[in-house]
Amino acid sequence: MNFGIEISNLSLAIIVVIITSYFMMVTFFGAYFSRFSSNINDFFFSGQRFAWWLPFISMMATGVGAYSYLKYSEQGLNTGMNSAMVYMNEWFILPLFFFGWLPLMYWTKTKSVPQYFERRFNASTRYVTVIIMLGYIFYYIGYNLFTIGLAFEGIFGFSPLWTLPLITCVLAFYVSLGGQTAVIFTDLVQGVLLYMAGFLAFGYGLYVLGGFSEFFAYLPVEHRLLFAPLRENHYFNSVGIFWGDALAGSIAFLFLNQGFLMRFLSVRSVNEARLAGMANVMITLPLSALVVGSVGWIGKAILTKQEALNVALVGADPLQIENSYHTFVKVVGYVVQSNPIILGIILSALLAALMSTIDTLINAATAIFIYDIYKPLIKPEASDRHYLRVAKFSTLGIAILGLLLASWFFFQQGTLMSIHYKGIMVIIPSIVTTLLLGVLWKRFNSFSACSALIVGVSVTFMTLKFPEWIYPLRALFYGAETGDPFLFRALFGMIVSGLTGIIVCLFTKPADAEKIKGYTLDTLDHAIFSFKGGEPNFKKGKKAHSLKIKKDESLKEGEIMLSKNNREKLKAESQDIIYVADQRWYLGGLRSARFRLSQKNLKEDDFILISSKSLEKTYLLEDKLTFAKKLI
Amino acid sequence: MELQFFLKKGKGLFFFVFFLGFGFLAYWYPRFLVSLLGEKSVWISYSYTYGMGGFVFVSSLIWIFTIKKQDLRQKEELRWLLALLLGFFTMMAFHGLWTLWVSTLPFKG
Repeated sequence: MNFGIEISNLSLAIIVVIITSYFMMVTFFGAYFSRFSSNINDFFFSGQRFAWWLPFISMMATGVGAYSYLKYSEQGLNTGMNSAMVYMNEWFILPLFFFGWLPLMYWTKTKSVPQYFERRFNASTRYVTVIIMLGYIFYYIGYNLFTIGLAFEGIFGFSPLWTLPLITCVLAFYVSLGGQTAVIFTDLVQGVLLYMAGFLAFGYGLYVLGGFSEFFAYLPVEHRLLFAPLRENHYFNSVGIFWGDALAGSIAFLFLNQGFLMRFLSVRSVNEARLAGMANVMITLPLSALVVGSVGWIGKAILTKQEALNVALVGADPLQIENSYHTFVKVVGYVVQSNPIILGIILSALLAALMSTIDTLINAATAIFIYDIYKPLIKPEASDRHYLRVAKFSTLGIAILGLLLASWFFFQQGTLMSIHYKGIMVIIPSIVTTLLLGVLWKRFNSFSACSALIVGVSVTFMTLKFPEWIYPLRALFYGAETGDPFLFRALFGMIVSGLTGIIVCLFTKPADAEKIKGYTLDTLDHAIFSFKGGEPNFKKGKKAHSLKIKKDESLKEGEIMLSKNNREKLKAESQDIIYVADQRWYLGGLRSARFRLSQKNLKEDDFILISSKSLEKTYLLEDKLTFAKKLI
Repeated sequence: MELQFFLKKGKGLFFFVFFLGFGFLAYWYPRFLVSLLGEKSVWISYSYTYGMGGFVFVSSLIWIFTIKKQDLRQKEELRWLLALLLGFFTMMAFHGLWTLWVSTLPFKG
């Protein structure tokens, strides 16, 4: 059989074994975790009960998809270590996320960005947002599937015509079984696999080159820097990346990406969500940058060394990369050719990575479809069971639609990075700007929001046909002087949306201050009050450990009773929201629930009282020890 | 106090001036860096990204805590503010040290 690269029978056997086990495992995860999705809140947000580290680890896999390996390896080969730049510039907008958007979404119990737009503005704004958001998610799904096809083509030489439909079906099947919980747990395993593969490939590359000192010695100085040139390269320059990625892209990634939002909202409290966010930008993203880009850097160093010494570094033939889309596969195939076992493991991990981003996206698109289209427009009053069933079927439909969209990408030209940015920079600016204006400016009303969205996205879309409209910005911000300044498209879109929204707002009636309470930054306290249904209790208490569950039918549903000592330990008062979880830390909150503290006190310190009805609705086990913590 | 005054009495004017200033900074800053360091300097992109990004980072913090000043009285919020500042400066220092280190290594190619 002709493969894209040299693959021995042993490598092939390892790939088959790992991939088969992998499919069996994800199907098992889907089936097993479906028992933890009894309603749509569980299905999409895992019941908002997880400890911070569980979604954090799962973010590893979500932030690193198949497209990341291919896209950043290619970028790493072309421009060097500055391929890591886009993974490390989330910092600038983090204050707005930590102190604005995240608490706002959490305390208002908002499930999606379109839902926020309806509550902050009106239904029309919501539906305009739904269309744009779905465009964003489908663009990502299509792009992911496109890169999946490329990877299979690079490794096996298979046509995407055959591989893509098959993979799409498997993905849709397991996401529809287990929902977000299955996605989080599957991503956890995928995250470990991905990092292992990335480090193995990097380690082997270093070995082939002769160590770190040789690696750096054969990497040109500009390839060693973590920032792209200021303006030289119109595909990848620091000025464009700052405006296009660090601002617009990062806001889209953290604020709008339903997949990430669902991760943050699956956590048990705002502070734990911040912890997950902090760990993500401090650890996951820099490591991800290394894992996905390092193969390209290694490739560049090998090519330079080969040329300088005029010898092949491994085997008889020198490394050759005819099609830069296949950089990852070609470089890995070259440096690990002497070890078929490791080659098999790395390639299987790549194939596993193919699924890790797209499962989140499919689930996110389903969440938007159910919460923003089906529930409000098609069937508003149905049981949770019904919505759950529809969610599972729509997962399949969305995956198939994504598959159809993937074909468009095969006709595009440019680097994988530029193809990716081409669509994203059109879709995100208007929604990013409207969202920021909505959160930060109380006066901003629904008419101006709708205008900003529609005018912003339409005018930015037209720049694909008339790129010269962006040229003035190129001069203004000292960008590259030749080529399509697509990195400035996002800034152009933000300016158009912002100006439209502000001008329309100044000439129309301000938003109703009463109606929008809790949905702007300055009214966040109101959201916290509404979340609790009373005065929030911010006193910092401790956890009460080793509590045995005891049933008490006199308690109301959703209430628990604790002893006076435990109450004091928690610094909790009646009607405060208490989080009770299984004490086994490695469950990460899988078996946990939130309750309200009853007025009465219990005498024994070792027990926690819950009614049978309340217990049935949670995943807590009666015979296991629990801990309690006050949330608010 | 003056910021409070602007926010309460002349919000529109304040933000107009703020965005105008930001626009001017975006126009002027890269030109200033090129004239100061030269286009080929290994520090130019670092200075641009952390200069512009630092402006966005600090001004959004000021903005948030001017609106929600009372939150700083909560220990937890203050701790998160410090964690953010520490994280930001750690990354800035890491990038700076990296640039310093790799630019001094020899190239054999």
